[in-house]
Amino acid sequence: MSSLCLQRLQEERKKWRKDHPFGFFAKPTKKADGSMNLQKWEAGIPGKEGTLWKDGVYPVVIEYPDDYPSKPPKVKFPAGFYHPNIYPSGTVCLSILNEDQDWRPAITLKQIALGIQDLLNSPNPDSPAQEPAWRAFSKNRKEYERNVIEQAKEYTK
Amino acid sequence: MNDLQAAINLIETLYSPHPPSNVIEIQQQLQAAQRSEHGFEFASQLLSKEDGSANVTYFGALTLAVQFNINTTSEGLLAILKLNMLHLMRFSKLYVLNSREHGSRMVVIKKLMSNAAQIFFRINSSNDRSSSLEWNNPIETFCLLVSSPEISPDAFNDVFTHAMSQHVPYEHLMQLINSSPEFNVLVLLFIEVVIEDLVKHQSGKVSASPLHATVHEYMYISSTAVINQNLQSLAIAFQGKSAEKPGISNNIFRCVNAWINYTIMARSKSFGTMDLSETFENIIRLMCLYDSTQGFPYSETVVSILGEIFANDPTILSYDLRSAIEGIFLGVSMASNNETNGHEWMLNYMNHLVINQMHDELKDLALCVVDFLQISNLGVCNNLFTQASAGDSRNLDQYIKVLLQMTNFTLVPVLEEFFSVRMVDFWLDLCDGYNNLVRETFKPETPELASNLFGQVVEIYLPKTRLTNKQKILEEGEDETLLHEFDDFRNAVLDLIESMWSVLGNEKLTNNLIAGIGHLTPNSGDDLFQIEAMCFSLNRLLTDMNLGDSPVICATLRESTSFLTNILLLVQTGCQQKSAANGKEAQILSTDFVKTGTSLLATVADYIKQNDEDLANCMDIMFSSLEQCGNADETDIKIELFLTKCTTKICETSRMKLASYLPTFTKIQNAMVQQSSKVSDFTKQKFTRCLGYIIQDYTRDGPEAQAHYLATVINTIQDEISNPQADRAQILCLLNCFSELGSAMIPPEEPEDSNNLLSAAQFNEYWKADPLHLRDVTSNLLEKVLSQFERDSEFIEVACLIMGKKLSLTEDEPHFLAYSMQELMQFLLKRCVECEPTTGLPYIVYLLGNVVSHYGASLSSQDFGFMLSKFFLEQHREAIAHDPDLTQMMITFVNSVLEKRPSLVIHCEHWSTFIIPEFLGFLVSKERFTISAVTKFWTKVVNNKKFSRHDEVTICEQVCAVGPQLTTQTMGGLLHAQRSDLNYYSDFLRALVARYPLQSKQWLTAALPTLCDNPATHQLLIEKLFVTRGSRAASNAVLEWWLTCNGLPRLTS
Repeated sequence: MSSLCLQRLQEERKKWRKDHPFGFFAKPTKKADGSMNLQKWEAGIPGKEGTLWKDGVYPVVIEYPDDYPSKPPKVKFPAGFYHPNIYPSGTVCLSILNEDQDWRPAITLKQIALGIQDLLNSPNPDSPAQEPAWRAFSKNRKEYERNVIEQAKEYTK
Repeated sequence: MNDLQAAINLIETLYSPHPPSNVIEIQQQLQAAQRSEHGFEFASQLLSKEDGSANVTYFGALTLAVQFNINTTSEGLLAILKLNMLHLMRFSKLYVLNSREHGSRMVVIKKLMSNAAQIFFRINSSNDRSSSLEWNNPIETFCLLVSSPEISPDAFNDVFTHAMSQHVPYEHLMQLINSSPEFNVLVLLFIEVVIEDLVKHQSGKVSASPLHATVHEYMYISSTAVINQNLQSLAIAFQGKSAEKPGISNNIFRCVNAWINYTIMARSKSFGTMDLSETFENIIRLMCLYDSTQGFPYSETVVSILGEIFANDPTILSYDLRSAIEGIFLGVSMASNNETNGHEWMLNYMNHLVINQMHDELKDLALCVVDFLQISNLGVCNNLFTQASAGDSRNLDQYIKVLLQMTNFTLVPVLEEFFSVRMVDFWLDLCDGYNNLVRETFKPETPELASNLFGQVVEIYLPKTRLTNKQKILEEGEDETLLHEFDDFRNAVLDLIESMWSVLGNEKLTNNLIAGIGHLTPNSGDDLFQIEAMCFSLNRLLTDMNLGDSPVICATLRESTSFLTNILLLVQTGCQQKSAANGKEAQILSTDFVKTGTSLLATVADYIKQNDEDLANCMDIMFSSLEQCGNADETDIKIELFLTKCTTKICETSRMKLASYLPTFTKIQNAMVQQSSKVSDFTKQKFTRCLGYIIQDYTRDGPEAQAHYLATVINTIQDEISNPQADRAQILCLLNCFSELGSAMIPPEEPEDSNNLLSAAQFNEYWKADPLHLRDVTSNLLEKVLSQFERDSEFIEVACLIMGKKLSLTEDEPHFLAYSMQELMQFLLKRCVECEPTTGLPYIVYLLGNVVSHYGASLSSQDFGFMLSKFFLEQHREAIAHDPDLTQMMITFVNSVLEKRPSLVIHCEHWSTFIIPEFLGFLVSKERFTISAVTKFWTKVVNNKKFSRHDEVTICEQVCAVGPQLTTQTMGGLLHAQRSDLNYYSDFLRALVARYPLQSKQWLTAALPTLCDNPATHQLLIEKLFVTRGSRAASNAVLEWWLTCNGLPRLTS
């Protein structure tokens, strides 16, 4: 990991601990020897109130590449997570996490977390990443909503 | 606009409190005048108007700004500057003479100051250094002009030219600012305007080094002299017991803030370091001023300034200053025996804030102090724990004592105090720092010291996280923000406790918590809150532990006699208090109680199953608690969910021990699935799953006994479905219960009872024979339901799930829903005929895929051809062709078979008549999933390790035959694809080129010119494709070709 990456991640950790949106959590994982792995974080994204997602806190893993912040982190939900813009592997398809699209080195963890929270209830049908949720979202909204509510129970707040 | 008076009228109209409807037109007219070649005279006339209102003169100053922006010559710039400074001088003099009368001119003065600042920046910016203009210090120029005797406009040129280059010595500058308070105010204002504009100006500039060098060399000296003189005057005024805080103090602190922000910015951009130590010393002195009559006049302001510095760039303060602040804040210096003057102020200030309930100010102080402490966290860590310690050990002890006291602030966290909240970060960093230290650097006493210290931190935080504090926040009844903040605080403490576990270990942390919970006999609500807080923390520590492999922890749990009783009491209390009649406050706390209790019970499920009595107690409480739930409100629903999830986890873990509960479970399940039952569908389904777990493990009495229980559950479901009152939702829920039962009957990967493995064959035989005809009962039940809901996709989905339960198991593994392939095909064909393809077919095909996967070995290519005909090519062919999702579904189905048993596909009757021609067409699809599936298909066709020799020969001939078309279609699809879809095509191209190198080169050479006229790019692509090895290189070659052919620029170099 470059010193720039390390410095930025320490800064992100400090900033997050001091100021993060309510209901979210994010922290670096621990390596096998007990030391902190700043390049891999575990986080929780709460569903927005007043939406189908409201009852859950959805776990994600955020992996920062060695050349962060030049390159964006990779954010993954558990494999099979039900959402039109989440790949079957769990990887999030979001423009601010795409190097070729809207990623900027100044984007913070807080912005990423809020961006993902927004994405949960506002899927982008033009950028499908998995077939079942996308199909249901486009063609069978009732089925989509039922599955989202079921999933929220799995990740109860 | 020729008439000045007309313009003045327009200006007055523009700024009138109620502008007319044609305000935009007026704006446009005035803007035209500002930008015209007469704009300069226009500005001059407006500013010179003796009787002009503030609006008119302000507009004159604004017009000068417009002229500055459109004028690029040195001469023009100088003329604007002179005019600007002339009027700035004039208005300032008026203000100094009579501030009350001319106070309204302040807005004009400020604008003229801002204009001057902008001109100063341009003159000193790198691009204009070659110009003849030189202006180093606008502050001194301003002082000289305003202090000069009355001069006529004609003489101004000479005076200004002189003032521009003149240096004002320190003593003279001090004399000037002391000459009148108004003069002083104007100088401070000008400094503030220039420096604030400079920070803004910098954000738009790539490089302004010469400007910053000029500021550093000239303005910095005079500005700090003015600021420091003013700060000292404030201190003197305080000592003189002046009745009230001087009004100018706000101006001074704004100026200080502007300079601090600028200095931080200049450091970060490597424009040099400007030492503000004297200013900091002055403000710190002011912070510490207090007495009984004047109170703490500057403390709040300075704390806020210092807080900003510590949060953003603490090293702007020198080491000595930081040491002084350490002494003030903590009353002790970690590394030295320096005097710690000022701590008395700190104690008195905190006392003042607490007594007067100034919680916001107390929070600011906490933020400031803890941010300050964080700066030297690593130093504290080294001094405390390593041999490299530089400090006096008594000092260190005292230092830590103060930090612990600060953490243990006596008020309610979040609501009344923020020290303990912010100190979580400090201790977390200290703990992480300790964990990262090399053990060889430890002092001999370090491990004991660390465990004592962090042990005390745990003791402090446990009571802080109690829900009694949340209750107090609720009682205050303010907005929900504080509640969220308190929840965040609790979670932060969990992180801290988790981190401290690596120092304290099970012995000093986990075991203490278990004992704490287990040895408490709750006599009051407070005791319960204490138990909850300990359970909350313990749950985090035990979450990743496998209690089955932790005999020591289990032994501690057993010794803690009331451990389970107390957790269950939490759950019971929560359930008893959850009613809306007890108020919102009680509902929130009840939810927390149940959540903590059930989470911990689920976490220790492996322990609970070790003792029959414990298990029985848990199940009884879970049952009775669930009984009290009735979907009454959101709290009730949430609590029911927690209870259900906990029960499911315990049943899954303890299925072996729950056989004796089968009659009770069956009875409850029967009651639960009734339509009149008030529990949620989720609970009905999960409870049926719980029952299924127990039945699954109930093997000791042979398969007949197991079948008996299954039949009972199925009969219950069947009876309820047959109930004429059952509506769609109820029937669907019952089928979902059935599906949960089927899932629970799938044996766990590692069964605890090895006898189960031995008896598997016996059970398998039994289920093959199925003497109770449970399979028939099930399929008949499904047929009956589907005869009513044959086009309802939710019913098709759950029916397919039920029918396919056994397909994830091997032939040797027993399951009561072991349908034969013929039975499954019959079911599927019937569904296929009846379904609405868009919504129902995907579930049918999903099950079909599982059937092929499970029974693949016994299938022939004729069977596969039959499936293709029936499910895709007959009744639903048109729907599939017109719906990209269904198209993709069909391709994916073919791919799944091609991957496992390719010969079934390539030798089927539809291979050359349907699959090859249609799938070639899909290559130019616009829909991502179709592209993804079809390129995968063709990749599997050209490169498939499961091909037999015979398959290879067949495929090779066919690919060579369609090669040109395949290549044209691929490249055509690729050319018009979205950028994000290119990789699908490049993966296939790589496979094609690798497998058919000679032919594919010819195919590409022939195909590319037909798509677009770009021979060089085509040639480059072909060359690159044939020399690249990796997928990334191939993707880059394809991307380059795609960008060039589509006339798009590269986003990155």
